[in-house]
Amino acid sequence: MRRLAPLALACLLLAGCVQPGSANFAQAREPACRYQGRQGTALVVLMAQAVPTASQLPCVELLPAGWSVRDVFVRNGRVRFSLDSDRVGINAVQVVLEQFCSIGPKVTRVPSDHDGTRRYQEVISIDPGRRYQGAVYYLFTGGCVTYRLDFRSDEQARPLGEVSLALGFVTRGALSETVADFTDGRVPLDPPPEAAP
Amino acid sequence: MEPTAGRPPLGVGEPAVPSRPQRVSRAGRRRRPSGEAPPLPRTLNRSGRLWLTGAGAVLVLWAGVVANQRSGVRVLELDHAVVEWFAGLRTELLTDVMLAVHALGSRWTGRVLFWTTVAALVLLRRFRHLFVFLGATLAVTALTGLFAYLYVWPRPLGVEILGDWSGYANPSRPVATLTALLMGMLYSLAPAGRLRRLGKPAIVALVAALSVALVYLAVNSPSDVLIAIVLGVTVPLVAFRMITPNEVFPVTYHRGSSAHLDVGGRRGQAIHRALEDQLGVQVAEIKPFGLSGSAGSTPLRVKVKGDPETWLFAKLYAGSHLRSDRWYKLGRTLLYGRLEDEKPFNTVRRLVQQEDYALRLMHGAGVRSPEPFGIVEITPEREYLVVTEFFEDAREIGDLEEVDDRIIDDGLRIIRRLWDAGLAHRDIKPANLLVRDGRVHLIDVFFAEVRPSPWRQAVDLANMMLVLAIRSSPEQVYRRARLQFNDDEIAEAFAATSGITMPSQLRRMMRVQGRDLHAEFLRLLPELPPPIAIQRWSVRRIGLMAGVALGALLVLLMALATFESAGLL
Repeated sequence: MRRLAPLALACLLLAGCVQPGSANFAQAREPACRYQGRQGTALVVLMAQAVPTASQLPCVELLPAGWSVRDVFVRNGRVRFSLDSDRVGINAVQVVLEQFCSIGPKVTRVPSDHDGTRRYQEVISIDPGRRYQGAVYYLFTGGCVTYRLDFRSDEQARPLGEVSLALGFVTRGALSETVADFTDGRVPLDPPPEAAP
Repeated sequence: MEPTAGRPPLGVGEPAVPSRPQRVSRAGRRRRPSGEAPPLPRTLNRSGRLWLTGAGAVLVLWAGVVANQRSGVRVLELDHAVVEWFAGLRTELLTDVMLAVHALGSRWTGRVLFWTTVAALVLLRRFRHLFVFLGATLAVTALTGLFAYLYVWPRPLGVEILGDWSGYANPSRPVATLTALLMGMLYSLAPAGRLRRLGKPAIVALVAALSVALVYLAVNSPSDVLIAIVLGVTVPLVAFRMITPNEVFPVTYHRGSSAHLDVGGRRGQAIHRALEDQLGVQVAEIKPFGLSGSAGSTPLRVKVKGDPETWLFAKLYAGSHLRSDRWYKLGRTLLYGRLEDEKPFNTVRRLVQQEDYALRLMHGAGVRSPEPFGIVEITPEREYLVVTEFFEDAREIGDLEEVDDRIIDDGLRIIRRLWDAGLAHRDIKPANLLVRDGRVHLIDVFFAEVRPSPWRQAVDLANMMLVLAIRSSPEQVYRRARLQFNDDEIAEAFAATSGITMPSQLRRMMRVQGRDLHAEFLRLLPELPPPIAIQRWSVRRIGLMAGVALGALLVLLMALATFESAGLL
C-alpha cells in the first residue's frame, strides 16, 4: 500500500493536469479551426509541420449534431482525418492534405467557398437512394486538400451542405500568428524564409 | 458396479508398517521478530527503485510543465534553441550520416529486434521472459501513444525537419521503442554478469546516437527524447526485476525445466537460513534432486549436520508453480470438463498447506509416505518449502529389474489403505513409487484429494496395477490384485482408465517397452466393462471455452493493434 501511494498520487496529478474528460481537452486534440480565441490547435500546428509548403490547413469549423472526428493521422508529407455521421455512416468524409494531389479528368471546377483556394468536384458513383461517392478538391499554394465523400444514405445534398459548413481552412499566416502569440514571439512556426525548403 | 462384498483380507504379505527415518537432529528454532525482513525479500534493487521513482517524478513534472502555458513555452524555447544550434551544424555529409543513424529508429529496425528476440525466447523456451518482453514492449508503446495524446507536443518549431516522422513529438516513439526493445533483449537474453554489464553501455551508445540524430534532423526536440528514454528504460527494467528477478529466474544457457527455480545465490542462502531458523536443523548442503520427475515444483535434497549426517527432502513452491497449477486446471476443465471438482489455489501459502496436510493425512492413514517436517517460509506469500523425510537408498519402482509378489502386494495395499481412508493420490506413476528394503513408498502427494469421486479412486487402482506390471506381468499383478480387490472393482478401474488418465511417464514407459498393458489387463477381466466416459459437458465448461476464446481474441487484437501502431508488425 505504501508503495502504491506515490503511483496513485502521480495518476491523480496527471489526471488533474490534463483533465481528459473535459470538452476542452478533446477539442484541443481535434483539428479545430478556432480554440480559446486563437486560430488552430496543436493538431493543426502539427499538420502545418507535416506539409510545410501548404498555405492553407484544413480544419473543423463547427461540427453539426451527429458528426464526429476520428482516425486522425499525421506524418511528414501527409495528413488525414475522417468524419463520422450517425446518419450517413462512419468514415463518411475523409479529409487528406498533401503537397500535391492528382485530379481525374471528370472533375468540374466550381466556385470556391474559401478564399485563396480553387475548388473542384467529382462524382465517382451514385447508387440511387442508397449510396453516394464523390470527391471535393481544394487547390491552393503549396498544397491540396481532398474530401473523399462516401454517404450511405438516400440523402446527398444535405450531408454535403453540412460538410461544407463543418470543414474550413486556417491560413498558414494565421497559424503562425497563433504560435507567435502563444510563445510571445520567441518561437516561430516555420524556419526563417532564407532557410525554408 | 457392486460395492466390495466383504472386505478382502488385508493381511496379504507383510503388514504396512511405515518406516521411520533416522531422527533428524534439531537445534533451537528462531522466531522472526516483527519488522524483520523475511529470508528472501522481493526487492527491485537500488537502480530499479531509482528509475521507478525518477520516472514517476519526471512524468508528473512533465505533465505539469506541459499543462502550464508559461512553463510549456519555456521548454519550447529551450528545445528550439538546442535544435536550432544543431541545425546550424548541418552539412551534407553530416546530414547523410544522421539520416543513416536515424534508421535505428525505423519500423524495420524495430521489427527485426522484436521478432529476433521473440524467436530466440521461444527457441530457448524462456516463456516467462518472453511474456515480460511482450508485456513491457506493449506497455511502452501504449504509454508512448497515451502520453503523446495527452501532451500534444509539436515537432521542433522554426527549423526545417529533415527526417521521416509521424504523430506528436513527445515522447519520441522511435527512441522509446528502441530503448525498450534493447532493454528487453538485455534482460531476457544476456546472463547477469559481464555480458549484461557490457550490454548497458552498448544500449546507451545506440540510444544516444539515435537521439542525437533525431535532434540534428529536427525530428524531435531534446525533451522528446529524454521523456522517451525515461519510459523506455523504466518499464522493462521494473517489469523484468519484478516478474523475472535474476535470483529467481536467471538467464542461463544450460538445459533445465522452466518449473525449476535456481537455488543458488541469494535464494540458496535464504533457504539455508530459513531451514535453520524455522525448523532448527543445521544445514550442510542443499542440492536440486530428481528434477526430471517433477514438473510442478523444484525438488531439493538437504543434508543435515549431525552424527550421523541425515537427509531431508524439500519441495520449493513459488508463484510460478501456483500459476502453472491454475493453467493446468483451466486446461483440464476446457479439455475434459469437470472431472474431479478441481479448484485452483489462490495463494502459494494455500498450495503448500494442502501438500503438508495431505502428507499428514497419508501418514496418519498408515500409507507408507514421507514423514512431514513442516513448511518453511522463504518469501511471504511467494515462496515456501514443504519439508519431509528423505528416503535414502530408495529406488524408483521403474528402475527395478523385477517386481515380485511382495512388492506387488505392498503397492496394492497402498491403494486399499487410500480407499479405506477416503483418499485418492491422483498421480500414481513410477516416479512417485519408491522401493526400499522391498517396501513400496508413496511420494509426491500434492494432488491428493479427500473424498474424491469413485472414478478417481478407480483410476488410482488401475494406474498402480499398470505401474506394477511394467516390471512384472499383467497376469501376476491381476492374480495378486484379486486378493485385495474383487473383480468388479478391478473392472471398474480399467473401465475408468484411458490414455489421458495415465500419467505421461507411465505411458512413455509402456511405449518404450512396446506393450499395451491396459489392453492386456482388459483381456484378463472375466467380462469386458463398458468404458466410463471422461468428457463432461456443462454450461460452465461451454461458457468458459467461449470466454477463453473471446478473451484470447481480444488480447490478441489489442496487442496486434498496439504493436502495429508502433511499427513492430
